[in-house]
Amino acid sequence: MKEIMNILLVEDNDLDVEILHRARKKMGMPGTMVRAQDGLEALDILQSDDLRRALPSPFVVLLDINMPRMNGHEFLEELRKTELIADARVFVFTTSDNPVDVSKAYAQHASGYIKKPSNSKDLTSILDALYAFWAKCENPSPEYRNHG
Amino acid sequence: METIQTFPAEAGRRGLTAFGARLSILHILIIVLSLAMTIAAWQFSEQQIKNRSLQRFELAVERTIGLLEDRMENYEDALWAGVALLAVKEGDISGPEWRAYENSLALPQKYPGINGIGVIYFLAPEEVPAFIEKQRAENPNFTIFPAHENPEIMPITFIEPRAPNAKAVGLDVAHEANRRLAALSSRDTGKARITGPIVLVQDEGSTAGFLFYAPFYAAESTTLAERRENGIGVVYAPFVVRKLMEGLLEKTQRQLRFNITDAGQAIYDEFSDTDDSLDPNPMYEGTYSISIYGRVWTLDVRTNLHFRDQNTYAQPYFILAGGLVIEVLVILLIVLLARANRRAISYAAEVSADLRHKKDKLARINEELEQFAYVTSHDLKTPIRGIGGLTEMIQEDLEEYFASPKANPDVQTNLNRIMNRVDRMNELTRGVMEFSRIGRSAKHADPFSLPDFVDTLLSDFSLSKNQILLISDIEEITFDPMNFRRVVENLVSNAVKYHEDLSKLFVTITVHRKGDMCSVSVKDNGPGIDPRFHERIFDMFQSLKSGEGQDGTGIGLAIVKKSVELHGGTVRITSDIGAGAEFCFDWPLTAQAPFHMEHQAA
Repeated sequence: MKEIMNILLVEDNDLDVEILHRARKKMGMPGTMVRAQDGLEALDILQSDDLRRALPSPFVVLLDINMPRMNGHEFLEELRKTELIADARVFVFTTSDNPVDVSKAYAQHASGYIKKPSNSKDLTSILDALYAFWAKCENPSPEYRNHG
Repeated sequence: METIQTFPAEAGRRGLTAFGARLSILHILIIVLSLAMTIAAWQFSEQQIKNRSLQRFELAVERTIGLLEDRMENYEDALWAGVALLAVKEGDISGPEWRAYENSLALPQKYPGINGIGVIYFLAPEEVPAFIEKQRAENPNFTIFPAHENPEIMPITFIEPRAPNAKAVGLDVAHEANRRLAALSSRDTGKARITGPIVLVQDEGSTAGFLFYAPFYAAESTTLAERRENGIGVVYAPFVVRKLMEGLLEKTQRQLRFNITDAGQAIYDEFSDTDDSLDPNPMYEGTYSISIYGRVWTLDVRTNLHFRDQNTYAQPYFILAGGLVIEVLVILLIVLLARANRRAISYAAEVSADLRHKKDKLARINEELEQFAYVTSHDLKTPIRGIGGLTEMIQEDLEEYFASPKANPDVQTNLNRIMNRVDRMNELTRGVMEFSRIGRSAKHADPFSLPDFVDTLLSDFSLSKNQILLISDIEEITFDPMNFRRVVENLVSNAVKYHEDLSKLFVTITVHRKGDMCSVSVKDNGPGIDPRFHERIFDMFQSLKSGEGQDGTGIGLAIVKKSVELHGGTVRITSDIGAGAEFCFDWPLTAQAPFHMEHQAA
């Protein structure tokens, strides 16, 4: 059974958002994609009931690192401290391949770290792989949250 | 700068500072030693001279005493000659005969210092009137004087030359103890004797004098009793000590002055003479006793100015002065050396501090530049990717147009060209970032195995198994593996890029252990490189291909060069057109390898 992979894309670059959007559309990938401009907006979306309605579970966060107001690392740190959403699965999706960024992300329990590809062909293959991986993974049940 | 400031403080703790120069223990030792040598040489030469002059003094004393004794023996001979004459005459001699004897002696010439020579008879009191009677036959004024209590009567009967001694004729020497006892002693011992200090009656100056006796007997006498029995008189000579000494040795030619005392009584005194040769502070003095004809004379001897003149040597002072001059020169030289040395050290410290400062500054600037290159390249990535993304979007959006017959083929071509340029820009930014990170990534990497690395290369460049040959006597790269990987990757990448027919490419990688290092060679069978360009190819952004279809960024070999030079090595190239290319370099095996430069890897 194919799982739906809803996406919260935290990305300040409109062009990147559009490229990803087009790629999903072209691939015919099911599910919803919600976009946040930066870390603060992403936290708002995750914590506000109204806004959450647009993003059904299960969802994955695709997180850029370099963003205004609140960058990816700050967001991740904040997320892991926030009740109810601390267990969210986050894949960092960024242009930076700086080892410092990579280490920091995993230290905050990122589920993966993916470097943004430079063409649509590579992007498609990444999305394919990510989806295939997602489909193989079990989803956490909300009722067992905070029980270890 | 800090080292320069602390330097003098340290110097102050380690040595003396003189005239602004630092003197070490060694310098001070040299000065002290040479000073000690100078003083020792001075003292030694002075001691030698002292010893020599002391010897001279003793010799002079010996000579003077010898002269005195010789002279006295000489006089004694004259007396004994008189005795012999009296023996021939059986003790009875007349005034004219005695005068004839005296004349034959030639006293003034042969016996300078003698006052005269005479005869004294020993008489019993009862013999006196007859004796006077007999003498008056020759000398009508003859009388015996003065009267005294002693049992003996010892009148001076003859004395020649007569004139200066006239007052002594008839003097009874028994009237006074010194004269009498010496006369008796002479008679009793049969030897020549002198009296203790007396004043001669004929001496106008009333100075010290003595009488010199030699006894004569009426018959051969060997025992004391016989001598007393037969002793009938003495031949005598009166002496004024001063005259004796004047005759003895001219004072001006002597180097000594002396006093003579007899039983504590001064009989001769030169010390109170105040002539030119007086040395108020004599160099040497001494006291000598001589036994002389029954008396003991004590000679008190002092050197005079003649002695001082002839025994004063400037030599030790020349040695001292010369030594001190040399000493001053040595000190001067050492001080100059020390100063020069100190200046050189402080100059060197200044220069090296300056250099260090400049080097630090350069390193900082270099780091800033690398950082700048890195950040700039990184920031370029986003817009480049954007252009690429947008171009792809346009291509997608125009898919229907491209399929239609009225489509302009240039549009598709130009969009492809944009994509091509985007790829190159991505390559370029990636290359610049890699280049700027070479120094930074030297540490923190796991060692890798060479065969595994070759497998990775084969798959990365889509080559078949036999296209890369590894010849190596080393299994693993442990020193700065990340940059080693970078170097070999770039070299293989170049071989791949420039080969006309990839399927015919063949690369040989040779790694050979060489002490602490290994020599590495990457050789291909590509088109080769014209030797003209062998230096240029290592410069950044220099690619030998130009125009369309070029996929080299011109940064690969710059990365190779920088990585190898980071560890002090050099990249050498052997190649010619059509003959393939071989790149060689040395790579350290450990951090202790000889040319490794720690500060650059940091």
